[in-house]
Amino acid sequence: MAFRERAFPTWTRLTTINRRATRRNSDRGRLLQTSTFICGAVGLDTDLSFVYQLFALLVCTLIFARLTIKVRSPDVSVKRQLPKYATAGVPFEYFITVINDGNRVERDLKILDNPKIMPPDLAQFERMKEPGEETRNAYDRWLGFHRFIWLQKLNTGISLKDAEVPDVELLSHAQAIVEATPLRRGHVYFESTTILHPDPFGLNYGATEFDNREHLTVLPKRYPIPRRFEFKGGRHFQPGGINSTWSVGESDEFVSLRDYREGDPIRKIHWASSAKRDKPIVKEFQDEFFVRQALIVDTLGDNPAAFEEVISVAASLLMNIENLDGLMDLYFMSTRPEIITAGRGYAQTSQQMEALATLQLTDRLSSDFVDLLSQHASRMSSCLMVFSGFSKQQETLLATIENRGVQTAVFIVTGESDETTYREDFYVLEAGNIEAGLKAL
Amino acid sequence: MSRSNPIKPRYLGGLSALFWGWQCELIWFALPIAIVLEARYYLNRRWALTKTDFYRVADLTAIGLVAMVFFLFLNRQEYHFITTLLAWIPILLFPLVTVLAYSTTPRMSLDVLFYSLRRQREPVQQSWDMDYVYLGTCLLAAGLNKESIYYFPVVVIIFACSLYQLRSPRFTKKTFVICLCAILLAATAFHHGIRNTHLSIKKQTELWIANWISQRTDPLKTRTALGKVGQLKLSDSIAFRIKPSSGKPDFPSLLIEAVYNTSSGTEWEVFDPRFNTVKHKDDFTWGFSDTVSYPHPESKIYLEFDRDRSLIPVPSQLVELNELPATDVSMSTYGALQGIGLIPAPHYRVRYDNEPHLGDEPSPMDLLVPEEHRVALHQVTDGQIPAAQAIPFIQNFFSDFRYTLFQENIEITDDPLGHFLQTSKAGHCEYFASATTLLLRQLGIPSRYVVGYAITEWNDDMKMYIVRKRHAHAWASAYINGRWVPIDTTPQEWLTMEEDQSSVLQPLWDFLGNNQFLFELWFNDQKLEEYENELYGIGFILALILIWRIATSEQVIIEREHTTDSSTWILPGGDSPFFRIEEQLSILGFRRGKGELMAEWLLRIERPELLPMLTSHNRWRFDPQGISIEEKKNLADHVKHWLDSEPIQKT
Repeated sequence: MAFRERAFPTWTRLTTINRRATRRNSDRGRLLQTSTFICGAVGLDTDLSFVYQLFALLVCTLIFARLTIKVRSPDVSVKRQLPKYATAGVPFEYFITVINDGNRVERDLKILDNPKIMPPDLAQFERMKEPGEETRNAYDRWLGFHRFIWLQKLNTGISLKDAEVPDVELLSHAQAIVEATPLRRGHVYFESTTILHPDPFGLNYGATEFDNREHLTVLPKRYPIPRRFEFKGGRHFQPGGINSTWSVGESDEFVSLRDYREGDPIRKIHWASSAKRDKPIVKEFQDEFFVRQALIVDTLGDNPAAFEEVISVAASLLMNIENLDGLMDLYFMSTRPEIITAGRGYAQTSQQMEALATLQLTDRLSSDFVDLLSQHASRMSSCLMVFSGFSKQQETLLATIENRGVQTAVFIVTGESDETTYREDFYVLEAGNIEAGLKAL
Repeated sequence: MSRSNPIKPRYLGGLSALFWGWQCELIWFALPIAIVLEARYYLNRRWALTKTDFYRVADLTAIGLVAMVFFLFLNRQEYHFITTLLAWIPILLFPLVTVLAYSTTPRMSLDVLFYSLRRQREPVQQSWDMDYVYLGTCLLAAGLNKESIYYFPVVVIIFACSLYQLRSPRFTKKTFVICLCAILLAATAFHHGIRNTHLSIKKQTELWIANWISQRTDPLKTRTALGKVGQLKLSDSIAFRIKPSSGKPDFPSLLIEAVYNTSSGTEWEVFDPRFNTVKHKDDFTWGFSDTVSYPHPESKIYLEFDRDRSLIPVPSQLVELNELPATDVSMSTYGALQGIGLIPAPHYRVRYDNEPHLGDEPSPMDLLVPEEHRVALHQVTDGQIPAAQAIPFIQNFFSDFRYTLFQENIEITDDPLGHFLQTSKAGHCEYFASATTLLLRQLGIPSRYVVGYAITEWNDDMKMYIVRKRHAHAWASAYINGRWVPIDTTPQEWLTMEEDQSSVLQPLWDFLGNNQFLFELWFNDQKLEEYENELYGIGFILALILIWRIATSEQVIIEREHTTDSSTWILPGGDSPFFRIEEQLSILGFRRGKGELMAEWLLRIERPELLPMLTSHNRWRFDPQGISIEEKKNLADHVKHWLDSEPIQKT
């Protein structure tokens, strides 16, 4: 522990120095540096070989290349064009426009976008474990440097590739396409953009930095869900009304005939068809009812990995029911009751997604939350709940909702080796295997 | 310049391989390598190889490297390890480079080369352009010779051409050439500087070393550890082995390495430093006696000569020296043998009889007792002892002496020998040998100080004597009845004491060392010709497998870049002179963007004065009615006028 505490600031410095040093060399520059080092070692004994002559040539080339970097600095300005949203784990591309402000054509430039580097703190370092860390050797595990690098990348939140800038003609501009992969949900902050220009041999790069602060919202990772969560016997297919809607109930638009379902009004039965088929058949009209569903997201717990999966499952469900013509209330089980309603003139699903993107783990549940739910239960058609476990608090919540006669669907994200037995109608999803679990629904 | 379309060192790869072959005298390897490397530019077939294929070839290269290291280790007397290994590296890397060159993969991912990266979860991003790595390796390997004057010029040419291919388009050719010339001048001065600095450092260091250190056995002078305080300990490692042909432990117990006859302080020197060449009996055979009958069979001494060793350890009863890898053998007046032009070889043979032969007649110097030791020696002999009783007297005198490797007291600088004889009565073999030699002289018997090895450790499994570095020994040699007879007064327990102090891991090192020695013995006995048929068979089968694999692998035909033949497609209105204006503006750095309309372009580059000409041009190109000859002429005139007035300056 003491060693890690001492080593921590060094690692941060080390990675900063390394980042600055490596971006200033091209691949062939690095190759030449390595070759110089080898030639220096092999050619040490000038009686033994002529390799020292090659060494001299390489050293002089490297020094000259470094000296000539400043010969032609570019005269350009840059402008970043980020998309509104990105999704964690899904690569995307964005543009950086390079504008030629000088009186020469700018060729052979490279562009490097710099996100704000966020090193982990010691507490996070001790708490979190790199995926697959157990496969690393004992020394690496003890040192923890790989974990540090992984956490720093994760906190920074985005992985960016260098981009080549097309030739920028006079009085013109060019667009560089940057490939990016968000590594986590939440906000990603960009600090600056660097334009790299090579020396005449293409061994080193000179860097011109532009202050270019911006942020990007990364939405949670989402999984495809093959089925829709529609609840039989709810308000759906029944006349009803809420003042905030323009049209309620069923229209006169006949759609089809279908089998009778429990809850269908008897006046809708098509007697002729029922007689023919010897079972009740109802006429189905264009459904203009809407449902008001609730999605409750569990933010309690101490397992960040499971929490991320809870968020992903919630986001996937949100996207799944997005097209339903109804209202969706998103409840966060946290220290302060939070509800975001989307649909029909309220907020949009994207705002709910943004809220999910920035959701944090909490350690206790607000005492008002159950009361609030019990008040709101009367207007819910159905309720989806995503829990990261099923303890007393979750049980109380479920009971409150079910006692009001609201249809529920409970999703539980469990640890990798969770042996607990849950109620049969719960959807149990194993962390790390969520995608397959959701597909099997 | 982009990764998708990397620049390849066409011609330069093959050229550097040929240069390497020429410099390292491996041209018959280099020639096919160069042909294979360059042939890919004329072959439009590539093989779609997977990561696993590359892993296999890399593993094969690794096995080749291990085999090469092993081979060089076994033949370390013949080859300089590092330089030879590096000089052969292009042969080792060749399969990997070839596979990459003929595959659809442009660069070598680092996990192919580094086994540790293969276990990494995330895909490895870094990759190398192996063509340039190979080019660099060839240039480096070519430098591993000591004589060529062409090295620097050829390296400069290949290096400059590579840099030219890879130069940045930001700079003009002129800038590039100026920078390159500056580099070449600086590099020439720098490498001369390196060489001269090395030479002067070397000279200075040699001077220091000559002044302070002398670790080799000098045939003319030896410095003893008489009077030194502390533990005197020599290594347990095996110096050499002796195999008597009889298979029995019947070899003489002492091997002479050097003989000295003049004592001064704690040093022994030779009075007559001359070495006389011994006459050859045959190639690699030298005789030392006229004896024609050999009572003992020939024995083999497995001693590896290196650059630091020129003295040949032999028994004093030596009659004939065989298979010694030297051009000449010379012998000192006192019987030490030195090899001239020794080359590394695993062993030599000796024949011996029962009488000592080495060393010529004694001189007055062999009776000289230095002034500083006279008092101490006189106290021991205490009057006249007949020469006939001298040997028993001396042996009796040393009978109550102890052997020790540890000198407890403070350092004796004054008269360490006197202290040994009268006070401590304990010491190591140098004390006993020095004291015995001087006592013999005091009693009127010519004697000399001899250093060499005690042959005592018999390994019954190998039927060989093992001689360790700690078996190095010193004794006296007395001239009795016309022969130089060894007189060893060191108490016999010295060997046991030395053995007791050996490392606990010694059996393990011995086991490893003996097995390595036996393997080398077996390996050196093998003759490649005996396995000729088997090798051809294996080679044939491997070639068949290779052909089969190449033929059945997935192949891709690469498209050659086609140059567009403009004559086949005529642009409507393509003869409009306005295109010359566009061309001129492009040269000036105002290139029209892809799909950008000409009018938009002219406005962007702030040339609205060209718009009227553009109107005529557009009509020339697109008006179904066409434009009149007069209008065409007008446009041409305007264009010409504009071109004449616009200064041509290329950016």
